[in-house]
Amino acid sequence: MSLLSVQDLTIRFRTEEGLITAVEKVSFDIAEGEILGLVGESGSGKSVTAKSLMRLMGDNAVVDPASRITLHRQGGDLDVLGLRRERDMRPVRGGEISMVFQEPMASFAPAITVGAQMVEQLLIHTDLSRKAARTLSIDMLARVGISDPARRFDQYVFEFSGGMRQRAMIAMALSTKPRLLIADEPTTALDVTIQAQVLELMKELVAEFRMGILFITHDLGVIAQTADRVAVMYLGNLVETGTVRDVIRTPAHPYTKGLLQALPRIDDLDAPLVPVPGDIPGPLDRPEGCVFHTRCAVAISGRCNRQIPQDVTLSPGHAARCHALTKDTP
Amino acid sequence: MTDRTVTTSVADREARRKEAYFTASQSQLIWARFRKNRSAMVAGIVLAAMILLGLFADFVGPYNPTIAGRNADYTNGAPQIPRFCDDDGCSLRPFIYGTKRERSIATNFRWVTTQDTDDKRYVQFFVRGDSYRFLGFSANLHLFGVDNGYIHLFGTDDAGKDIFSRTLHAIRTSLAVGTIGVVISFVMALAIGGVAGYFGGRIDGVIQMITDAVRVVPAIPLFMALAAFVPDTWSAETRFFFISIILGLIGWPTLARRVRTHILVERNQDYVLAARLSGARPGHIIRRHLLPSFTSYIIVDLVISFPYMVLSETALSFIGLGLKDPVNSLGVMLQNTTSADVLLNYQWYFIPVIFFVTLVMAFVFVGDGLRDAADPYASSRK
Amino acid sequence: MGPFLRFATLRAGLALVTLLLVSLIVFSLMELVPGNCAERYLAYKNTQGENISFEDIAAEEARLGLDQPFLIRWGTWTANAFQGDFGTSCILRVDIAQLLGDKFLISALICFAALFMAYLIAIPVGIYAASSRNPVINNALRLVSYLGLALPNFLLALMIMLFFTVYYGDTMTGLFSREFRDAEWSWARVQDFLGRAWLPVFILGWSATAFALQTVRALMLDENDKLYVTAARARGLYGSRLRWRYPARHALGPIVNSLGFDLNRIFNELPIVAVILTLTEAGALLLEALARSNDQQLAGAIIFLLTATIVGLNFVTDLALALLDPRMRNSVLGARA
Repeated sequence: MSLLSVQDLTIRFRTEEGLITAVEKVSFDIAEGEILGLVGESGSGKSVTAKSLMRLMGDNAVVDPASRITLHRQGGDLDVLGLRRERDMRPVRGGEISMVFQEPMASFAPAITVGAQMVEQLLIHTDLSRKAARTLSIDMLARVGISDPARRFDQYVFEFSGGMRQRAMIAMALSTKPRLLIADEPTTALDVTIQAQVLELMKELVAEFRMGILFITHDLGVIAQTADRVAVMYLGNLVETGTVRDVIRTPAHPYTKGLLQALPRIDDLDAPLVPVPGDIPGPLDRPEGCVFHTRCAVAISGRCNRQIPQDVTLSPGHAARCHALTKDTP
Repeated sequence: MTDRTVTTSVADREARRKEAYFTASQSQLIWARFRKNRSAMVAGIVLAAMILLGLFADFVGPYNPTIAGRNADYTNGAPQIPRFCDDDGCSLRPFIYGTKRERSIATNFRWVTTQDTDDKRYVQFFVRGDSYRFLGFSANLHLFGVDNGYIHLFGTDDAGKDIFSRTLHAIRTSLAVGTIGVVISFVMALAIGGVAGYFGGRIDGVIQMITDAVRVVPAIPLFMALAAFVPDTWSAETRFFFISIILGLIGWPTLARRVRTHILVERNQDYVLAARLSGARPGHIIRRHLLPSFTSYIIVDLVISFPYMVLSETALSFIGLGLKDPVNSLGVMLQNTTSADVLLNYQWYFIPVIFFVTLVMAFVFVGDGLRDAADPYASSRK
Repeated sequence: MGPFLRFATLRAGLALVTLLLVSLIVFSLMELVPGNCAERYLAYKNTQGENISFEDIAAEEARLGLDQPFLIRWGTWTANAFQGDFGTSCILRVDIAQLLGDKFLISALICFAALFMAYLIAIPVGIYAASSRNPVINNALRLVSYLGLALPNFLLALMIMLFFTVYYGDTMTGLFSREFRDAEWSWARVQDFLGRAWLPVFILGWSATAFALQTVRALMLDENDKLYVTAARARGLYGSRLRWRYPARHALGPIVNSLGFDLNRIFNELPIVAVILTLTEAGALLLEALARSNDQQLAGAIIFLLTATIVGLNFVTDLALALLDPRMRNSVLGARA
């Protein structure tokens, strides 16, 4: 059953230089118990997309009225973008949707104990008593693998080690039993070994709690290991979506192909490194037509630089937006 | 290559604008950002105007600001605003009314100044008047005056000195004192802060202690103590320099600390290391890498510390411990304003206050604007 | 508690060294002034009509111990100063501590009250303004801050005097009304004092408030951009609860740090305001002594007292900061593994 539906999400930002498009007509669904990976370079708009799910975009964000974000619940669907007051946004902030950040040290307030922050969140979203909240929090800390959790509960985040901080953040995010966890580059700042541990933990918790995870990263390798489905973003557009198997084994979009080719290969040490040619265009130089055409090897002149490509379904669940895939259309 | 005979397309212009942006020097970049800040630009224009007024005070002000230029017949006189029209009709040239001083039984034998509406005195421009020295030359050209008698735009004080001229000279004096003070504290701060930051370690520790000790002493009471002991026999000019120097000597700790912190931090930065690894010599590193990195901050600090100097000097002169007549500053002009007589009857004594506030605000806005423009990481936060 | 005590002792030691340096500076300045205490006193006597000879001056110097070397004199003066004994004033021959006692306390009281008032206003307003998107509020606040800087206290005092005189014909001068000026302390005197002291407190606090507002707002803006605030919002916190628990709590540190500096600024403005409001006429203010008399013993004592107050405040705020910020405490108490 679908947990979250995003349709035609378009977000622009008001800046001194004008309106900049950060996200354009992005649509995807996340099902219960599914890990969806959102992959893209920096500037691709993945963080903005994630933040928009929790209404955390900045003040200068302009959301296109055709955009829709729907949270499917037992008691009725929730139109996330239609929420007006901060108080109403509570369910999508820490209640049904929780977020885990890239920098765990920076996401905890430095002068408040970890435990106090965890309890605070529980008190906001549940009607547990303070004592019950404390017990639950210590349990969560233990559940994520932090030893001596009762003592850690009263400590400050700077007293934790790197991996421990990330685990604590996951514990805090999951303590309210959200149905969707957004992980914004959760392992980018970690050592590889700790990275593996944290990824394992997340997979276990998904199975245990039946949550969905939106896993945002630029690291295709992590996605291959962890995610069920993957969506590839480039310059604010979703260029390819599908199961991890489909997309990584049989990539359809030139950009996806380029990303996979650019990955260094441990098994073949002599293979050359093939980067995607060119540079990502600046936000003010958004290409017309297909946003990728300036760097595309198979761009069709006259078509790709004029028309915006539509979704082309290659197989059930696997779609990409590319003119080159529709060979038969004139 | 640009072919000037071909009409430049928009893309070409764009490309050239970008090129100019990428190759612009630091000061050009700062200026470009500064220009976008409207309030700072306005303040900058105002500041420039006031500086010019101060520099050309002798020319713009119609009379000598000291006792020598006073109008004994019009003491404590109200401001005389030129008008164009009156009951007799209008004229292209602005004029004021002459005044008569008289006393008689009718006025209880007190001197009373009345306006004589029949005595029209026309304002003239570029008149010859009191002589003054300008850049070593003797001159007597003034921007305006009246064909007959005196004109006092801001009124006069109790000795008959023209407040308008005095205000202009006061601006000049305050600016001069501020400049000297700022320069002195700047030089000292650079030297002391630079040594502390560059050598670090024990030397830095000792210098820090001294800096802290000097900084903790409240400046004005210290200054009062010193100024109270200055012999009265010193001339006004000597007093002037003494005050400026003392202000500078008291003001260096804050700036010194900033210089020291900055050098300490920058010394260990990667780009310095990179320069050293590329073979650059220390002198080159200091000149081309370290100094530009904080020149902008230093300039901003200088501009911002200016108003403090001016304020300190004004405050001290006001209580009589700073400058004295004939050297003229705002503080000196305000010395007489605390008597009830003045407060009740001669409110125009306070007109210089407006100039003063404007001057300080202009400095503050320009300083803020410079700071925003010079910081490459500052986003426009309103 | 051991490590914290060590921290406190270290800080106290530093404060002591600073005070010693200050006493050195002050004492040296006192020495630099032309004419020592003996000469001044006898010159004063001279103006009274008594004939003084050089032997008298020399005898007086010996009596005052002015013929001893610099270091010894400095040492004695400093040692005495720490005990609150500043000797006797050159000209008036009155024990300085007695002369200053009351006045210093009143001055300090007024200054601290102004400081308190400034932050009482600046903290809530600054916090609220930093989170407000309303351009009217932001511009109004900026204007107030700038005015606070450009319209210094003495000008403000002048304006207020002008206003009161023109419209009420009353000049609110002096800290005490006539009957209470030299009276003994009583409840009535305190009430009289409070009724009149609000004006200098307000004027002194005015520019302190403007500064504090700017500082608080800038600190809050800095903190607001930090990730932990976004993370807290992502957990469902909003509004004033978010503001006070997160960015405000962390912006507190630098504010506490700056208290000593603020007091320094207020001490700087006190003499001018005092002159304008002719608070000195009542003999109740400290710095009248400084401005009116040419007495370097008195001057030195006053400067030392003022500086000592600031150093004391710095010491207290240092300790408070260690208590407030767990990171500081951590480095003090040693890392808990």
